[in-house]
Amino acid sequence: MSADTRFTENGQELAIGTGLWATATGTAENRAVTVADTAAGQVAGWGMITEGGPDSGNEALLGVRLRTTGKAISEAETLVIRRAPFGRSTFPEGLYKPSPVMPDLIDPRERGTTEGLIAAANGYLDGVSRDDADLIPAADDCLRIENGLQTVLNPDGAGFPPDLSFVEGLRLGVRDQIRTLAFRYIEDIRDRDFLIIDVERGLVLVRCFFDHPGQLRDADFVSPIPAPNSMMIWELFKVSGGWIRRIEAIGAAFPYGMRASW
Amino acid sequence: MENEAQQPETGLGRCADRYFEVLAAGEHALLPVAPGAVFTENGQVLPLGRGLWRTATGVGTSRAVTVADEESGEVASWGMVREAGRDAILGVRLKVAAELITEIETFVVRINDMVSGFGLLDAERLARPAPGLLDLLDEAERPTRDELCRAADGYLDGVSGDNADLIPVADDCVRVENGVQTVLRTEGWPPGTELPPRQAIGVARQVREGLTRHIWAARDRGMYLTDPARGLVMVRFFFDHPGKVHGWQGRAAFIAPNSMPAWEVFKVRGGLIRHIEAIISIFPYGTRWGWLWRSRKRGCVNCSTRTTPPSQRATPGGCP
Repeated sequence: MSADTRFTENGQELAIGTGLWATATGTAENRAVTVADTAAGQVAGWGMITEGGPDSGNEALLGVRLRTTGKAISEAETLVIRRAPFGRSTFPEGLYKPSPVMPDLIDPRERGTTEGLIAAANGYLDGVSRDDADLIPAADDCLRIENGLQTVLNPDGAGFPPDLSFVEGLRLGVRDQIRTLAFRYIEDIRDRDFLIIDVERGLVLVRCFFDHPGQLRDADFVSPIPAPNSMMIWELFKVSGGWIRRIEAIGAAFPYGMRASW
Repeated sequence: MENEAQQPETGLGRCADRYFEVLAAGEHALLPVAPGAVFTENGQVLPLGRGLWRTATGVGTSRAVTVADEESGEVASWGMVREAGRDAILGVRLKVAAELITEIETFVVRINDMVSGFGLLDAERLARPAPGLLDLLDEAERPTRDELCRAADGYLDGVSGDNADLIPVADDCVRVENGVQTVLRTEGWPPGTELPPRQAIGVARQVREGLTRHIWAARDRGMYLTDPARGLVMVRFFFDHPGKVHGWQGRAAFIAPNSMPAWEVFKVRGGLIRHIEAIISIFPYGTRWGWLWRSRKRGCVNCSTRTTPPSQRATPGGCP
């Protein structure tokens, strides 16, 4: 790293050495997800770490994006998720091992272009924020893993606490969830940055904010998110033949309206 | 009630009243807002009408704290609101010029929500004015504006620098955070729980006994609203908690780093802090207010988030 390296943790610009740098005590053997764009000098990924250990330490999920300029790292962006997802007391086991499918090379005949990958990701984000399943180019068997848990095509609700309100919808696929449940509590998906694109593997990594305005006074629906927040999401799409085949995402809630500082 | 009669009956006080009155109906258009006025909620600049304006369903009939600074034309106040069936604390600062509101800064303390996960709250205590806070002082005991700011800074320097000698505080000073008394307690909180020894002692002794070691900075201090007739000064800032950093010995108040936004009011009489009221939450480490341009006028913003060993901490009041 150089003296000019810019470092952020959870959207806040910090001095290198502070934040998780000062508290981390261990990293998992494997990372769950890695994506790189060699030509652009960028790499990103996420996996589990511990902080404050070894005794009475906590586990956390760490996402990192690095940009290199010349031989030095010029940008270090991190997203640290310190609360286990979906009301669980621990992080899902799946985050401790590499995710399948994502690293596979795409058959050259099925590969898209950079623009095509971005369009697929945008189609998904538009569809989710506007409640329009037809905008989403997702295959019927597309899986989506969020903070380590499978949130579609999961009829048994594996990994979720049984009393979760939306367990019923977990059995549906990506598009059917939109058709059946409607995600009206998501008002906008803004500040989309297409951070890393790997055409050979059909991968596109987006950082964006899901704006949840909370339980609006005059709404005719019940929001599962009662108070306003903005969720910073890093979402990785696997695309082949023009269809999204798999989605892996990590994210955490921040003050409503927060920005990424990038 | 006697205390309610002591609310500042000024134009500024009425402005704050009005804000709370129209909030639960979302009628921000009824406020006398100047063109180009800036609105923030929890440090984020938003269009006026967003955030709590769309979710609030009720407000308390009286507020816990109000400080009106006639010199700067600002008023800050906090009280209880209802949002999605839950209690939340709303702090509001308004800047008024020529009878128009030019700045609206809000701090919404949401308890156990997805952002902060922080649970300290006594809603009942915050539903009424803090007893005695707004009492007028005898003229002989009134501090000047500078004395008020120095007392507040002395507290913040002392707490973040582990130096009780910097804090001009009376031995019987009570500190109330989110409605919960956190010094000189005689029983645990919530009621019925065991009293931790650290909460049974006073402000200065807590610092002397190392119970504030986890606070490494009180940065981005701003507002400094003063009401000398009542001996009040209100400051907003962030306490930086770096977490259980490498080499940390003893009890760690926080494992993970965080920054604690705070609005804090000090009642100063005869040169000593007599009462402290604060509202606090937990945000990502290093978060800043959307008003940094204002905060830079005072205090230091550059050294606060560096990992400096406690022994080499920034000199209170300035950079090393």
